[in-house]
Amino acid sequence: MNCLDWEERIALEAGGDLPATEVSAVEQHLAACSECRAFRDALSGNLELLRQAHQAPIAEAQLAAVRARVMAEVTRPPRWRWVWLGGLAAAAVTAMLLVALRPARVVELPHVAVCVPPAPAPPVLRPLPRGGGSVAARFPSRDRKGAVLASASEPEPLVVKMITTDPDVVIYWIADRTADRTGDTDR
Amino acid sequence: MNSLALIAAATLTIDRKAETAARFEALMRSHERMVLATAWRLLGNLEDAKDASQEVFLRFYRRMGEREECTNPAGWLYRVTVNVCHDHRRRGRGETQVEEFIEPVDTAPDPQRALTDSERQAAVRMSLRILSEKERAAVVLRDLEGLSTAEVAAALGSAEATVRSQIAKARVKMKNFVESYFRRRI
Repeated sequence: MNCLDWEERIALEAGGDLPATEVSAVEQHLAACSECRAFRDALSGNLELLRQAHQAPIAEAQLAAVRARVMAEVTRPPRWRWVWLGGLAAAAVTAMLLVALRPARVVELPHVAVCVPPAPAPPVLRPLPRGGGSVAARFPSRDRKGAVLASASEPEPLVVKMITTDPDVVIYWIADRTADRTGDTDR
Repeated sequence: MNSLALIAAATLTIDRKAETAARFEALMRSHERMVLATAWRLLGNLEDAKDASQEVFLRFYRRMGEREECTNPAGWLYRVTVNVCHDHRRRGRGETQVEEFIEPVDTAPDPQRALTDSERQAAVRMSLRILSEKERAAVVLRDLEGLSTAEVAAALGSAEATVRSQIAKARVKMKNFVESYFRRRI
């Protein structure tokens, strides 16, 4: 049997990984083959060196650094909480902006129907008495004229009836025009 | 549900979280050296190993949060460490040129021999880099972490026979690398 066929089993034997059923066969071969013994010794030496090379302890500071990073992640509030808080804040800001920037409220004026009472009847001119009469009678004085026209020009209050959209609300605007006329007379 | 019940439920949740965090920290303290050392040996670089270690423990914490029973945390941590390191290397973050392991302490009285031992150790450390992903993981877990072949197989998700074959091939490759390294030097 070629020694190459033993290589894998010897490599396992060097690390103590050979199944018990194969141990005796490998040991018999090793006892008979010096080359394979050297090969096994080299493997064992290499394994020992590998273990020595990795025996150096890890500094406590390195472990503490990793632990601190992990615990910081673990105790940090979950990301969804920040998303929630951010969403709420954004909603609040948006609402404030909407309130601040919305256009002035359009006040809907009441639908008003104005009802003006019919104009007063035109003054009735009474014929002057026949046969002349006094000049005063033919040309009535200012006072007389005023007396003649008095009935027609007597100011009546101006009534404006405003009907709103609300059927229960009707606004009457009554303007007394006496003062206006008096003012005209004085002028 | 009235407000008292809500407060009680919230307090219970906070208590549970605090309890989980405390339990997690205790578990982390008892396994952190193992995880970091394994990651360091697999990646060959301490900073990458620290990143990988952090990732491993965060996964572990999330698993605890999912209330999955973990009867063998060490086995689970080994498996996840191997996977995380594999991902690191695949992303090209764990690719090391030459390892920067801690310099060994020279105790040999003969300086010439001490130099040779130091060089041999450096060569052996480098020889890990020539192995395939699976071979390296098998050697690190079996020869450096001291797991049994059955435990290594469980951690790697392979059959025991496959692991034995990987370990044997890896040992031969490493021995040949060290020998050729010294032949070139001489």
